[in-house]
Amino acid sequence: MAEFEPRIVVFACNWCSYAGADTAGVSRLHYSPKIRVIRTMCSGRVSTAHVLRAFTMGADGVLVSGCHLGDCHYIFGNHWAIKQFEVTKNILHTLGLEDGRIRLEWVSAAEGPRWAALIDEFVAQVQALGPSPLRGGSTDESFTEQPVAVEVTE
Amino acid sequence: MPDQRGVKVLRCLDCGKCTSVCPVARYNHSLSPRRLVRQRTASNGSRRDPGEALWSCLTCMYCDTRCPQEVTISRLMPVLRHEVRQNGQKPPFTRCGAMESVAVIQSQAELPQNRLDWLTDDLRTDPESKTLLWVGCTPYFDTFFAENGVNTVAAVASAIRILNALGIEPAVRKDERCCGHDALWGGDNETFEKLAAANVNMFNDAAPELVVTVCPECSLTLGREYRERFGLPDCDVKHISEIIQEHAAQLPVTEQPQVVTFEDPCRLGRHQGKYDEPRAALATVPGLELREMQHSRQRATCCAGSWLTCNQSTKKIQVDILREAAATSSEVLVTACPKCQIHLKCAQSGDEQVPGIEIRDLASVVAGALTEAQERG
Repeated sequence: MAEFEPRIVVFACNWCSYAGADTAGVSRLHYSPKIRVIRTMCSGRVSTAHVLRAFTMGADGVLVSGCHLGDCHYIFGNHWAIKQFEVTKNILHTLGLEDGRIRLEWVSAAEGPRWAALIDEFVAQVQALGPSPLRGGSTDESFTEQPVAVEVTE
Repeated sequence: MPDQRGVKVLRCLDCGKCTSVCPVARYNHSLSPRRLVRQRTASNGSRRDPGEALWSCLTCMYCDTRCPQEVTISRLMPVLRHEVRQNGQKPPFTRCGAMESVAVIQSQAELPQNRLDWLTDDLRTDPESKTLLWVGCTPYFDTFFAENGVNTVAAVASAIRILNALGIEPAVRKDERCCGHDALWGGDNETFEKLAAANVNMFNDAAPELVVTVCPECSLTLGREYRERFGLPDCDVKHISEIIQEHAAQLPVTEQPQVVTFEDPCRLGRHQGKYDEPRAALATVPGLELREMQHSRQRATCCAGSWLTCNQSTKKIQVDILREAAATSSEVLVTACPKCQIHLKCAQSGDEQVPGIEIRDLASVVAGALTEAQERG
């Protein structure tokens, strides 16, 4: 059986984390290619629904990242993100999914190396947990197919 | 429910009684039950896309009860919704569809749910018991709506206290899943069928003799939809108000001088015809005075809650209910449905214009009057 290839969705805010990923890119840092980055205007925009939807669509892990507290482009957006992430964590706990599948992190635009290290660490963490039970337990389908966009409904 | 044979659309006389009583149509003119039925009788080519209005119907059955021709309009909605979903349309969803995802996740895999974390030692349960207490989605509701002060798990805990006081130690199960009520009425048949299949397996295993729910949506879905489709559960399914009514004489209750009013949930009242049961349950508590709202029983206004839409018009309906409740000069508005509690509390939050009348669950009110609860203080 082929080695398990985790599918990880990363929500990165436009102003810090996405730019941090850019910094990692232009600095030619190597990090795991097993993530799909979705740019949002703010980490506060990523609601519980988006994380849950990523899991229903077959994600093995979800990382939400935004500006450091106090640096938010919208002043309090990441405080809102903390609040919503708390709900997400509790819902996933009640549902019985492992806590290690989700994470909330702050990455600034200058923190390219941190971004690369963080992604590697999170990918390893999810890899250790194995495939999400919502994928039907299969490990061999997957990375050959095109990344799927998470549909945002409102 | 995907076929519309039971709906009898061809009997429609186009009288418009349905639209005139519809609580949604009062404020949202894009929804007209009459128009939806009439369009259904038109030939395929001239059918129009019902659009957004389709999702705003609450399926509260007020129109059905008024229809002189017995067209069951509420039952047409899942059919229409299923059809437009097949064409790729999605409901507008409240909270971006988080509640739907919770149901979908439960349908996708057997997860080791932590849905009983709230159980405390003073609540006596017995896994071997032939009485099954259905917890439903209450642990999820409380997480989602914590900031609105929603506490629906308290209703389940109260139900256990009431059963304990009657000498029954009910079973509660971790492998229970969402009953699929919202998926069914929202036209998501696939999710409903998966959830139902998993729950039917559970019923086969548990073989309960009695299922008690605190949510009328669950008692409707388990007691009617599951039984019609799968013949399970092969036992009585009862809402907690029926249990209280049946065992009124055995319940050790103390006097609670309080004036309350009662909101009839559409799923308990019009869908299941249970109007007297919750009232009898309240009457078991001595000293409790029940003052009826202007619209009660068959004419009760639905709490306008579904996870499909939430907008200005649903809020207006909720405010109407709260104003009616406040007009009775009652101290407490009692509901018998977790969803009513959620939606009415949500309408109250952050708006000082809306009457802040206290909202409590029926089971909590009765459990609060139990002698042991009084002693415990």
